[in-house]
Amino acid sequence: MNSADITVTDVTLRYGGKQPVLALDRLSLDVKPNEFAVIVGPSGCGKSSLLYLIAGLEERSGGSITVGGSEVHGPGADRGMVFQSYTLFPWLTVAENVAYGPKRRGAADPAVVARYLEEVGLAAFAKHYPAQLSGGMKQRVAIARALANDPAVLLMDEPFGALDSQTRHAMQRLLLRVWDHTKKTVLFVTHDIEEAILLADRVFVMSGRPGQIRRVLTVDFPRPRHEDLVLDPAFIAMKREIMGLLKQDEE
Amino acid sequence: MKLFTPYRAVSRGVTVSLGLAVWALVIGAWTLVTYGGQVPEMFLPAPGKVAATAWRLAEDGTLWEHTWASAKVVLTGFAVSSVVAIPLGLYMGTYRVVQAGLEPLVNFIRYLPVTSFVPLFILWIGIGFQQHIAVIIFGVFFQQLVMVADAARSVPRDLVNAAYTLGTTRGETVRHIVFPYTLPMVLDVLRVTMGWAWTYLVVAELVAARAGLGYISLKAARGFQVDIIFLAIAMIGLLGLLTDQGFRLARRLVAPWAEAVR
Ligand SMILES: Nc1ncnc2c1ncn2[C@@H]1O[C@H](COP(=O)(O)OP(=O)(O)OP(=O)(O)O)[C@@H](O)[C@H]1O
Ligand SMILES: [Mg+2]
Repeated sequence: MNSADITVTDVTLRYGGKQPVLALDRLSLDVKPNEFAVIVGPSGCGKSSLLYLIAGLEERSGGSITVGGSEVHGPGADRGMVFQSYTLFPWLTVAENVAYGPKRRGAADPAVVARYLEEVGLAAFAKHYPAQLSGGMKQRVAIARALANDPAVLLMDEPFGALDSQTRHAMQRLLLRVWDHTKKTVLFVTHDIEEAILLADRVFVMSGRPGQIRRVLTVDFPRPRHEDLVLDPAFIAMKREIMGLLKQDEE
Repeated sequence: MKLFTPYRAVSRGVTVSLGLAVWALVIGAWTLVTYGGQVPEMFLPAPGKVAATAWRLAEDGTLWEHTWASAKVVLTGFAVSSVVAIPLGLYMGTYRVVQAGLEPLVNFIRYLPVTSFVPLFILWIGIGFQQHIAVIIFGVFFQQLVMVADAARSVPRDLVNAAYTLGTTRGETVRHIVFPYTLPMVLDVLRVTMGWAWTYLVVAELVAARAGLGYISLKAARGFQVDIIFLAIAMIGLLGLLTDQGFRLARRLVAPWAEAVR
């Protein structure tokens, strides 16, 4: 099980085109190995852009990004990603999707595939095609697929954004359990403040465009955290603080 | 009126009987106007006459000889065209540089009428088999290229991004992602353009053919043998139908995942 730190230093991202957009402006953050870090921010503040930059799927205009000490230049299997949209390969079965990464490296191991399918509770669906799965199931396969490739960090861009709240809670529990077993470094993006506090070791609150880190909050509620935590006064206080930070952008 | 609910599936029985009924209607009308004497036999032969001619030419082997000659032209031309158009189209749809280079020219050529190139092909290639398949290739290649490129362009960006994060390299994208994703679409392109290839057959055999369904119908036109023209047309239609079903079957076999959708 490998796991690494992420260091983002003074990263700037400018989108070209007819109306150039400054999406990120000298943004810095760092995530420790094994940490569960969550980014919240208003819509359009550049959360996805930041994850794409760390994944190497987008080119930064300035600054530096290192993962496990080495500079990011382009995508690589050391940084797994779960996208907001469904990105399972429709022509592969569930098991083949999970085996895709290891197979690319010539290290396909059926036991690993079985283990991660078990982990996300989809062992019985190994031979199904993605089109036959519900949205929540697809994202579970996507998580299993990313983890089976044994990345050093796991980037998650609002993976549960399209799910109903029931499924969402189940997925959060599942994710925390898997994280507990694998101890990957996780950088998770959401716009759901409760989700952020329930999941995170630390919450990074972003400001509106151009995106910067406005505040870093350490969440030290003991784990495992129960959903009833949302009724805890300390939880509510933290939620209020984050809401206040996000509201500054609306004015 | 459940039958008239948009997009609603109907039973196999309804599908088959409707298909047969429309055929029966057309043949019935044909029978009526020919045997009823409304239309002179010189313009429209009776169904029985065409059937008899079919039987006669099938027995002495000429029907198969010409059918085979035509099938060879269409299938060879189609295969040559597809083998080049599919990979080139996939690269054209995936890489903007390839698209930028090829698209302006391809979009110009694909609107040119095939017929006007027949004299040029004769000049360049001479007459015979190669010239015939050149017509078929010219008729379908550029259409295939554009349609396959469109399919390749429809691959969701995040699907490719997901592949990158799993260790796929840029050079592997077409083979590992674009090709399997677009396979059912490509087979649909082949199915549709195969139909067009058959329609170019008569143009291909317009000049200097010694065999083929297009050739016998052109020859028959000179001798007012309308029954043979009908027979040739029917054969082309049947072969088209057969290849169409072949591609539908192939799609079900090689891309079963695309059938599971919806
Ligand atoms: N390809 C692009 N070209 C130009 N501008 C872009 C592009 N992608 C994103 N942007 C702009 O950059 C900004 C940040 O976009 P991004 O998708 O990272 O935001 P986000 O925080 O993930 O938003 P959301 O919460 O809605 O997902 C937005 O203002 C967006 O309009
Ligand atoms: Mg986003």
